[in-house]
Amino acid sequence: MLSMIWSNWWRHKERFILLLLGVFIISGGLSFLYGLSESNKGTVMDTLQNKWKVSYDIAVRPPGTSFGDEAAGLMEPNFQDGITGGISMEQLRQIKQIPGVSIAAPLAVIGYTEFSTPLNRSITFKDFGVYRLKQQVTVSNGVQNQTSTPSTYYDSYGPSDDSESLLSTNDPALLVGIDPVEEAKLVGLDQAVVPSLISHYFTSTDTSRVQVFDQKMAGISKFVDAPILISNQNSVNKSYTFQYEKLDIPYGTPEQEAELIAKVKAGGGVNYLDKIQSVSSNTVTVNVTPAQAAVAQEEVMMKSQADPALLLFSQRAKALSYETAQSPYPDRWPIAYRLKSYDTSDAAARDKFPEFYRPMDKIVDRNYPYAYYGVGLKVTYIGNYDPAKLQVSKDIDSLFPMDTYRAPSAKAIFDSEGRPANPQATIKPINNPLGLLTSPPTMLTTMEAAALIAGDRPISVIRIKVAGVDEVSDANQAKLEEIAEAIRAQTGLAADIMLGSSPQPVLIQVPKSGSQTAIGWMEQQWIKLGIALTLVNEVKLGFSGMLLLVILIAVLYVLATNMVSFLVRKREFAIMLSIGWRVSRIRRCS
Amino acid sequence: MADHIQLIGIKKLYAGEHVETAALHEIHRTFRRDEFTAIIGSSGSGKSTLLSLVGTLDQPSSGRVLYGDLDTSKLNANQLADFRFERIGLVFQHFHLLPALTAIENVMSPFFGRRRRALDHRAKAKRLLDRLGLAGKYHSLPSQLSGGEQQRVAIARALVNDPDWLLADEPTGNLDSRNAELFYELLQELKRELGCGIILVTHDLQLARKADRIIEIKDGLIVGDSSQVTDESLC
Repeated sequence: MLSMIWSNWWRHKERFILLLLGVFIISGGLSFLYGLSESNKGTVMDTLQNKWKVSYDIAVRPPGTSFGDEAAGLMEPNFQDGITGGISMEQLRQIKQIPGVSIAAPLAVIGYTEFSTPLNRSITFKDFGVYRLKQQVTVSNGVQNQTSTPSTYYDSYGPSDDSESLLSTNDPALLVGIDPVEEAKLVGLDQAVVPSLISHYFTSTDTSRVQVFDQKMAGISKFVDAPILISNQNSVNKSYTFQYEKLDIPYGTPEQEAELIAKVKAGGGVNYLDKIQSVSSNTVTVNVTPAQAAVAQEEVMMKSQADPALLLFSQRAKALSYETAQSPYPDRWPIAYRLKSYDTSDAAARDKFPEFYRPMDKIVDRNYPYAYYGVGLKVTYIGNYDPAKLQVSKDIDSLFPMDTYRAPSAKAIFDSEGRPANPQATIKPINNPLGLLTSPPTMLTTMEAAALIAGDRPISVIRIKVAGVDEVSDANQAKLEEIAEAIRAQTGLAADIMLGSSPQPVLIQVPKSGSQTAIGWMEQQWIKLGIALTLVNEVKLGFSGMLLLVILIAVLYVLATNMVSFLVRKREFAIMLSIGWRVSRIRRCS
Repeated sequence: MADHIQLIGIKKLYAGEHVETAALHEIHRTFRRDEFTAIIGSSGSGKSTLLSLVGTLDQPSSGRVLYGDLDTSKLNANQLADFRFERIGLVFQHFHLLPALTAIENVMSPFFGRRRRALDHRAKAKRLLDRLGLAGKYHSLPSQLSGGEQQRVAIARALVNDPDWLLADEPTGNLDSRNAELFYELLQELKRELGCGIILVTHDLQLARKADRIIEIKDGLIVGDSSQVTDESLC
């Protein structure tokens, strides 16, 4: 029979060539379509998964805390920076023991300290005298320049003094406690340490201890020794203006110095100097670039390793508050919020920070009335880390904002009058603990130190990575649901599944606050939980449908060619039947 | 081996749109293997339809075709194919050779796909072709043969499996009178040599008169039978 089939082909060469051509075209076409479909599917899936990739699968937070708009399943970016503790070390231990949990990385958001940074600039006084220095900080959030009320201090230049006055500044820095081992596994923090002779990652020798003071130590109840890893990224665009004035006071001899000291004492200290007129005035402006900030940190680090620096806490990290608002363009932005603005009676805070979108919450020890600073830190800066080197999604397309180390951003869309912003400027953090967008953690310490500072429940959020979960799928979603449920049942904590989340642009009305005018409406990418899973499933379904269509076309081709072949060879088949061929053999032959 | 073919109440109807056409009406007839039977009739009289029913190429609308005691209506498609292969050889007016196969391949074509020894039937095909005067034409394609040669190849194909019956439908229709005469003589010789029954459908009266038995058919009815063999005579 095979020889007959071959004869049939060979003796109808033109038909055979056409058949071969058809086979090549259809097989080539199908392969191409299949390849194209698979390649497109891969591209779309990669885009979907990479664009919204987070480095962890489940976020665990204390019960009762909010991550944004829970009713709408919308999570505010960097929500964890607004939660100050609430999870105990025992709960962390319980979570680590749940089967399937491969990484459980705690994050203890402790609060803001005043971080002293040398500016690597100095003022050189030409004449002997007493000088009044006024420091003013101007910060740009991308839309507005925010200028603080000048802070004043005094310096003198005499025969025994240096003519140079080194300039430095105190900036708030968010301190966060981490588990060095888990953080290394989750985001490769150990690999992000900037190599230098004086910079290293946390080791077992970087321990902490607490030193409790009695009531004679004004302002502080205890000091905690804390090893600190410090970020080399400065996400804030800041400039400092120093104005110095020579006071109308004779100064230059030992007698004049003694006379001045007596007058200051008698005149009420600094109040006396405040009343004295100036005779000359000069201004120095310092813009701090990230490179300068990094150099400055090296200096700070070296000094602290010789003699630990003393830091005081100023403010707990607090979350923003929103209320639902009517979107001006619901078709484009179906979800809109109005940001809440706060007021404060703290004069020092009002001078320092021009806006208050978060409530004041000073860190105080309520058992110790004199400790208005609560806890002090004796810090040793053990190293610098570069957030850009972390193993988190750095894809340029990656819109997923929720990474602990990523500075949040937003886009100005409309001004307060509802006029479209042109161009649409990006709103950036301003390093104001009470401000609209806050910087990611500048200083990292160990969980041991965090527990000594913050007490029994130091952990704000636990980021969980589950073994074997590397893509968005129904099976992985079910696995995560099971583990999240186990966490809720065993610890009573809230657990949110991050895998399969996607960005959702929301419109936020930013009202006037403090001395700042209203920004208007800004657009920010929030996180819609679970939506990517639906999208990924639909994409998979779509491409499966396409593949099915390709197969259907192939089947139709085969049916059509068979039909044509049957019609052409109908007479032949009739002859075969007549000479005793079975129908099944004729079918095989055709 | 069946010595006779019996047609009992054979009727063949063709259904058209709102019209039913009767090609054969209540045919009762018996064919004997030792006879050379010729079926004659004008075009459209139903003689080819009758032959296709006898050759089990078609099923009657009613009635039965018996080969000896074997009722062909009780056979399924595969059994019918095997039956045709083993018992019947068919020759057609237009020869109906497979155009892609050579003469010897056409003769061997009934064996294709059947588990028989290829060497045996190749030898037999050659013998038959030699016997029919086609010794030098083994490897000629049908398009390279004359009408008479093609018809002889068709006969060789019909006889290659030693059938009990040879059914020929207007086999001389495409041959000139001399070739038709030769063809008829060849059939007579083969019948004597092989002992198979022959039923020949023709509209050539001259040729038919040389047969042992002549059946005339008109408008689907048998209007004449030179032998008048009855069913009763066989019982």
